[in-house]
Amino acid sequence: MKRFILFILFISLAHGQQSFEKRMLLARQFVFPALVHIQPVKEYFSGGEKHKVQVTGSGVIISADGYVVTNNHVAERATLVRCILSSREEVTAKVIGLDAWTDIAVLKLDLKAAKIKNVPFADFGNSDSLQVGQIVMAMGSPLGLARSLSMGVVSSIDRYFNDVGEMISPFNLWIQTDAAINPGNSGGPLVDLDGKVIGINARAVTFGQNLGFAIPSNIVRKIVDQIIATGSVNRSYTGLNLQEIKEYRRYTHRPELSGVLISGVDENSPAQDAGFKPGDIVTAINGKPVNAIHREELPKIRLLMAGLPVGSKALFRIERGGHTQPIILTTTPRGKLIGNEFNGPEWGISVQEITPRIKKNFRLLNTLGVLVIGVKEGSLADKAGISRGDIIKTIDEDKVLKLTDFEKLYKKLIKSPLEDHLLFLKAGTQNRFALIEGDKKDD
Amino acid sequence: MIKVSQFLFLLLTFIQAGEMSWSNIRQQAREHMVEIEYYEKLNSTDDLQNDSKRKKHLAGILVNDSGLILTSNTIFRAGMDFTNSSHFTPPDPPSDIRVRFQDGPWKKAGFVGKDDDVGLAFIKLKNKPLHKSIKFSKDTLDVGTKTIIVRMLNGNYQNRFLIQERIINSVLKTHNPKYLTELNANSTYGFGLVFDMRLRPVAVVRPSSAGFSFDRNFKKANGGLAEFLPAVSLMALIKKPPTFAHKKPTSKKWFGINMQPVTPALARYFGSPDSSGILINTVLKKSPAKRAGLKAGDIILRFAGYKLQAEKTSDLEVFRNLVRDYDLDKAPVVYWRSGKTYHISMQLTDIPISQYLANEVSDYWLGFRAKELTKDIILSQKLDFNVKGLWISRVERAGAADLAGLHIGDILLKINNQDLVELDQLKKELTRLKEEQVTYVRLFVRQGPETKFIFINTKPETSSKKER
Repeated sequence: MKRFILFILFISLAHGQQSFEKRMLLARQFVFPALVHIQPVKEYFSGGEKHKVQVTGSGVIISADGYVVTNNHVAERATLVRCILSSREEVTAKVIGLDAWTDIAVLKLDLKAAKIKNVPFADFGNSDSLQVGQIVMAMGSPLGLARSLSMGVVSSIDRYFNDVGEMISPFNLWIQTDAAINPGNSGGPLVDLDGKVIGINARAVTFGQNLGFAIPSNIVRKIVDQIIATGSVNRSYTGLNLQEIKEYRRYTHRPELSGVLISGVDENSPAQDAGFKPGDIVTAINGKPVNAIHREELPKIRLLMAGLPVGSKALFRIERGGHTQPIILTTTPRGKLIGNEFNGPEWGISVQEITPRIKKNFRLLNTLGVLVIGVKEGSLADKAGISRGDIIKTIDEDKVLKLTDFEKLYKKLIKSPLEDHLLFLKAGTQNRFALIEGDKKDD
Repeated sequence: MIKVSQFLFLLLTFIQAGEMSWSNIRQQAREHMVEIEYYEKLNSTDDLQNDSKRKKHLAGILVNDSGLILTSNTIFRAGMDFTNSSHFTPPDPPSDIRVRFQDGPWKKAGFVGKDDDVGLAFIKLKNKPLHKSIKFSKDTLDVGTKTIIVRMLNGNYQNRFLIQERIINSVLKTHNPKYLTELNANSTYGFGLVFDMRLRPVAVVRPSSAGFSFDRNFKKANGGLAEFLPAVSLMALIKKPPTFAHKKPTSKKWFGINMQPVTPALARYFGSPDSSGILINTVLKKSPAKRAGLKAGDIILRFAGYKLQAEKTSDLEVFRNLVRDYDLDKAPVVYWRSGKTYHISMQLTDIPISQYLANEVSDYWLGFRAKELTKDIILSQKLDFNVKGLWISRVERAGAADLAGLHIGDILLKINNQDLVELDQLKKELTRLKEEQVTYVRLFVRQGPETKFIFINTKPETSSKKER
């Protein structure tokens, strides 16, 4: 009898394993044909000098006419995007739009040039229904090894990260997985056993093991739709900085309190104009209650605020000093995360526009001026004493308020290379004059 | 025979004279040089109440009969004014100081003060010494001057005197000339006494600090150089030594600008007749320069009658030292702006203090320390000059404040609903909250570019027990 039971168990396990494997292979089959090995050629400038580099990433086709989702950091600055499909066909692609705030980009395969009628595509799943422990597969090109698949589980469905330097994600939580995610996997799909794309792989912790992170598909889908429709994602800016209320509840002995704490109000922002103050508790936006007891609930509220129509009046209900009151806030457009650049090879300098994020991190009073992001050694800019991180405020008597001002002035000034030009720079807490010396051959 | 004996007599005299001179030097060193032992507090994140200390040694010279001892300013490395402050040096003056003459008993001493511009500090014996103080000779020094240097070897070598002959190899022509010689400071206490060939004490010697350039590349000089400080330059200091006190500025004067050299190319650009002068690129808020109406782009031509010239960054030290050492409160200044020359009389003030002279409040209940905001903190944190608040200078590791997320360097703006401008406000509020035995304290801080609330659980061990 015992032997019989063991035999039945053995058969069941073997059958189960075969079923599981079948399911996995089936799921793989839904997405693998839509996998793309992406090889963008990027152009970037350092010190006014152009450099080219080819990088590797991954993507997934999401429509029969060739739209591809990948990461912003894979596709940004690309001048040429070569894609190798799962069928090994090579197709070039165009960048349709980028969203640095969520690290999502959309490409379009040039099927006509490749003489392809249509391509296999994958479907998005519902990332909100994911469970910790669920089996998932990461597909892509780790270290350039195209058409690779790794398997793991969902380790967390709501991983939160603070913004650190360029690693920002104010509008989403992350799916954490122990499926192997390596450089090259970026932009590739995270797939469930139903063969649905439930995330786009984007990050990994390199000093740990089996710590990979994907952007949830429900977020990706919305971003992709907007980029395909308009070429970009428009978001509102309020100037409100948020903090969860878990500790505030304990501090005020109000365990039932709902809302989100305002931890800061940006200077010269719509929130400051509207009269918000740090310490206010926002309880509703346009009639919709908001609540962030834990920090994992903050991205949803940020997304709600960013999703308010730009230039619209929004009704906030706040609690201040024990009283409830309404505040009307008029949103403005959210600035770019990464500003445009301009490169001046004659002076050996590269500059970038100052975005609100740079203004905040550098603790500048405003976004006026341009930020020096590269100086070529031995160049005129280098000899003048200009460094990366300086902010150019004026050239000769002309103010440099924005990037286009610098561009116009530069193009004019390089036409007179014999003349000296004096730049006034802000460098940290100090200012400095830097003289671009003219070519005085007679000296 | 007579000639041989004369020769032998002369030789013996010569040898004896040599022995007498070295013995004379050793005797003078024994009379006037001391070994200093002191404790330096460490910037520790451990228990706030029990600061770690590290024992260190230096050499010193008894310079007056009341027990005043001259030594190197490395005895207390923290910068006193906001221009030379550093956050990584020990925050407090040296403690538990004691000195001894060679082979003598230890005697207690206290810290008096220091002058970072000359690199010297003073301590004083608690009781009047039996030894006589050194009498310096005011001879001048120059390149080629032969000297005898006496330094003290460290404890590995029984603190014996190390006596060497040295020639002054080089002179840096700065506002106060710096006399340099090649000298290895290893195995010694660095600081020492200098005699001329007539065995008169003429200077003190210390490892050179003249090697840093202040341009962007911070090229460091090679090691192995020592600097003589002639006695003639020390007399005024010995007569009236600087005294350290919290909140008391160092009596160095302040202009309130950042500046850069006027190169020939810049002079050409500005249409200046020559490349004399110093170019102002920044005028600090609430400074004498700001009050006098000076602006970025002005070129200072003369200060107190002294013509200024700076072709490279290191030349700016001349002007800097002129201002710092200026005795009077008002100084005539000549500057150039947009083709015209202007003459003004500038009111100078004492240079603002660094965070090391600022008062500090320690709170052992929550585990942090806070200081008043000083200009060096405002500048390093890129704060608005008008900002009000206190600076978090220490956070005890795993203390209540640390667990709640308070960091060193945070600017404390409010505690509960109380805006904070002065330390007394913080002190009073913390005392009140402790008496009321509150469970949570709310702080509003600036951390980096953002503000946030920090809620400190004053009884974290109680909460964790409840959760079990």
